[in-house]
Amino acid sequence: MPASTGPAERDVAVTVTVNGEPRRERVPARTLLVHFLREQLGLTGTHVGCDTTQCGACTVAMDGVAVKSCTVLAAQADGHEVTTIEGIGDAEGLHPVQRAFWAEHGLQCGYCTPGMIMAVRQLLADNPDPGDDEIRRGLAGNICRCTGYQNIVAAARAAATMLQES
Amino acid sequence: MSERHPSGQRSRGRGLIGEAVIRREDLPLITGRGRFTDDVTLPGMLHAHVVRSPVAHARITGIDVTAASQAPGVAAVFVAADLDRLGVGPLPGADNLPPGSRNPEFPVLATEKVLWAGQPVALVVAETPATAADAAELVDVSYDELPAVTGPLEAAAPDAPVLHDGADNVAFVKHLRSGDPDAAFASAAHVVRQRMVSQRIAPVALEPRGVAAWPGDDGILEVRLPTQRPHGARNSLAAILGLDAERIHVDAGDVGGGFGAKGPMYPDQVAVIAAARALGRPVKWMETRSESFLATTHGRDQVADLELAVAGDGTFTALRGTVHASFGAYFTSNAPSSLLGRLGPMLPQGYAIGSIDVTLAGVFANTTPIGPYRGAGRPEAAYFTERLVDLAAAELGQDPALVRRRNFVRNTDFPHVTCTGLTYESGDYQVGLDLLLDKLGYAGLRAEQARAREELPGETLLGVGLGCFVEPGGITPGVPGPDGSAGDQATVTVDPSGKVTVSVGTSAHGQGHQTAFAQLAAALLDVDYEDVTVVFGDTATAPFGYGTFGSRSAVAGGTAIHRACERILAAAKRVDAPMPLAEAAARLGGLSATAASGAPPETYASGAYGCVASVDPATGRVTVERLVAVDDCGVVINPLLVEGQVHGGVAQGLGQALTEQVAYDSSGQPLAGSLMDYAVPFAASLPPLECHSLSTPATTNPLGVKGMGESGTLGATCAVVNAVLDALRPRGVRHLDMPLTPEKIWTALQPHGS
Ligand code: FES
Ligand code: FES
Repeated sequence: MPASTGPAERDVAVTVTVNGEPRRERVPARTLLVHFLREQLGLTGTHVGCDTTQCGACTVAMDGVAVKSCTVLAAQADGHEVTTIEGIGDAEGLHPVQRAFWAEHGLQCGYCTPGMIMAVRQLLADNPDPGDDEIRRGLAGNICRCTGYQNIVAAARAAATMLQES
Repeated sequence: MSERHPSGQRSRGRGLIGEAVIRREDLPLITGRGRFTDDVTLPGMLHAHVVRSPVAHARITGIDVTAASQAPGVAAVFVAADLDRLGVGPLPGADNLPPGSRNPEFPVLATEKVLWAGQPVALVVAETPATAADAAELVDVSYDELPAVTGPLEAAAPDAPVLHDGADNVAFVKHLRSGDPDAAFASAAHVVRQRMVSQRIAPVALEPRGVAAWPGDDGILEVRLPTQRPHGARNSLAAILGLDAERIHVDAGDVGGGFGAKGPMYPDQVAVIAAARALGRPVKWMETRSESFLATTHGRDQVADLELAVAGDGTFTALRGTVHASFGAYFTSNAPSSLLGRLGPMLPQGYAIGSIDVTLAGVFANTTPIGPYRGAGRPEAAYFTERLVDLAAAELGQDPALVRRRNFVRNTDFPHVTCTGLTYESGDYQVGLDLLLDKLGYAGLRAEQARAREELPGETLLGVGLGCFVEPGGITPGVPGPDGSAGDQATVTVDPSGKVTVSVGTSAHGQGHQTAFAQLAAALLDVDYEDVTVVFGDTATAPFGYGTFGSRSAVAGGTAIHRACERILAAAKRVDAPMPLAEAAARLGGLSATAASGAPPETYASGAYGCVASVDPATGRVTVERLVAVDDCGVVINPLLVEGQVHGGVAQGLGQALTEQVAYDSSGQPLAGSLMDYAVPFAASLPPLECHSLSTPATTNPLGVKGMGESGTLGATCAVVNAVLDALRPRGVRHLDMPLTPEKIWTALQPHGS
């Protein structure tokens, strides 16, 4: 049976404030937030690394709280505020967590990095002065295959210091 | 922006080599402005979905694509016959096989038979990824199922189900024999034997594979491909599609990790590219993570039955035995080299072993094809030998560190030719081990362990493990480049304003070559680091090269850059008086030079790793308390990058040691199909790593560098397993195969456990 008649394919209107800008689009109801961000809005900094909510490459903030955008429907974000990696800082003004990842060599291929940065941002919001163990446990939802996490932990610690000093 | 960034006088000149410069590639990546393949969107772009075999071994009795072709949004459905009509050939199989080997062609889409669960059978191209996936459900393939075989030993058995009709599953057998192994074994005081498995594991680069292709201007076929070898990909595509390589433009863009698996050209990618040509429209395909476990090459999958002959004084005298390696359903291009060129020849590791008699057998099985995976034969060789060494120490009742030191190639004996015919150019294995023992506090640990064993025999079991290794790097394939020159090329251009561009045929995907090669060129030319731009990864702008794999880039790419820089400096001397390079370039209207690396001899980095692990006998759970790495990779261009490589390799090595495995059931169905059941290490799986180094410069390339991108997988796998088994030894456990899961350990600790 052709699958294109089901409710999942019906278009729904979604209004989301993304990185401070209100965006309104019609998308198939089954569209995931990550695909909405990447394909509808062209915000390709948010990555897809898995299909089972394990890797965290797709992490964004919804109403200020980190979520895995592969596990949220675009329709569920309707009326909410979403912040992506593009929204927290750019070349002219990096977010302290971005600066820390750079200074501590916290990335290699960079594929996990946007999600890691968003996850560390959340971790430090919850716990501004975490120990190494707390950082490691706090990153349980994010996979990096390149760095062995060593410098990601160092970056999180450096960012904590920067944020506390600022 | 950091004290690590060179500033002032340190941003130029020789001092740049060895400087921990933070990476110039990071800014786009930390701000979400990378350019990965999945980020490519073009007007009119179509999306592909691959229909894969759900069974491991079957004859295809029919394919009906009628319903799928008529589904909404579908542009086309391709099966093998369609590709035939388009003149799309099969993938050629492997290179560098021993004479007499079997080397079946690898069809882009399956024809009569499917040989593994996941083999591409059809390609659906539609308006969106979702409509393509929906229509793929409608492709109706009938299979006549056959019995399957999945393990290397089972596949080599005479009564095994046969994959490639007309012969058994053994594709090749090669013997490594030298010295007098028979005499050595006949006169050995001890012979240590063990069957050991290096289990099948998945590379899991965080960016899945994919491709985007479209017809470009002037009839050029445009291909965005997450690849480690842009030129290699272009050339194999040309052969498979029947096109001139000049008509194909491959751009890797940013590549989200490779670890070997993004080296080969894959059938699914070829099918997508062929579809884009046939339809005259852009087509993109990205595999899902679950699909990746079926479709992207796996690594390892060998069973070794090896024996080590030990003389009365504890000297190792010979190795013998057999290694069976599965390559899955088909050969990918350089997969057999992992066994033939790495695993076998590297079995002696850093030990002065005079004789060898080892048989290497390559077999086909109903599993995902094997490809190179971080280390590609090196970690397996180190693992097998280092396990045998620990078993020898246990049987001799001697300390494993002592046994190693006694048998190392002495630092005065370089260059050392191994019994397998390799020439180790330099090294100092004793000093490396001593540094490790010192950093570990080895004597203290052994005392603590003895005390714990005596006083608390039922409590947590403490183990100390060593893993010493030699890592070959810098290989240059024997195939000459298009202009007949050997090796990778580099072009260095100095424009009249003094800006330098270095373009090189190696192709980084996370290693930091933009930074490292800019440091190198700035140092060699004595120009400002900030004035150097590095280009690679795009066949339109980078000169020919073999890409980045096998710890080769610093050696091969670095040598090519060194030679091109020398030519620039020579050409700059044409001005009448000595002057800075930028001034000379301005006077001469710019300078440009291209050079090839030639085939610099391989380098042999080395390392000594240590692990302290504890095992809870009640649960079988392992806690890795400490991991200490000592690496010697000769001259280091950027220690920050080298340590980063070590960290990542260690995590992957620990993953193989403790948690990772691609398992199949008896019908060939994979048991790990997603990141839910395939356990890569998380941040909390690792202790803080303690990294140390020494440096014996390579004597065989002008920079003194040694390839090192894989060392962590060699050292960590051995050290972690040896530590766990050291912990279990008083409880009567001699050996366990990886991964050392709690269940496996707990079972072994039960009174009637195995
Ligand atoms: S893509 Fe969302 S968790 Fe992996
Ligand atoms: S930097 Fe490559 S996955 Fe984290």
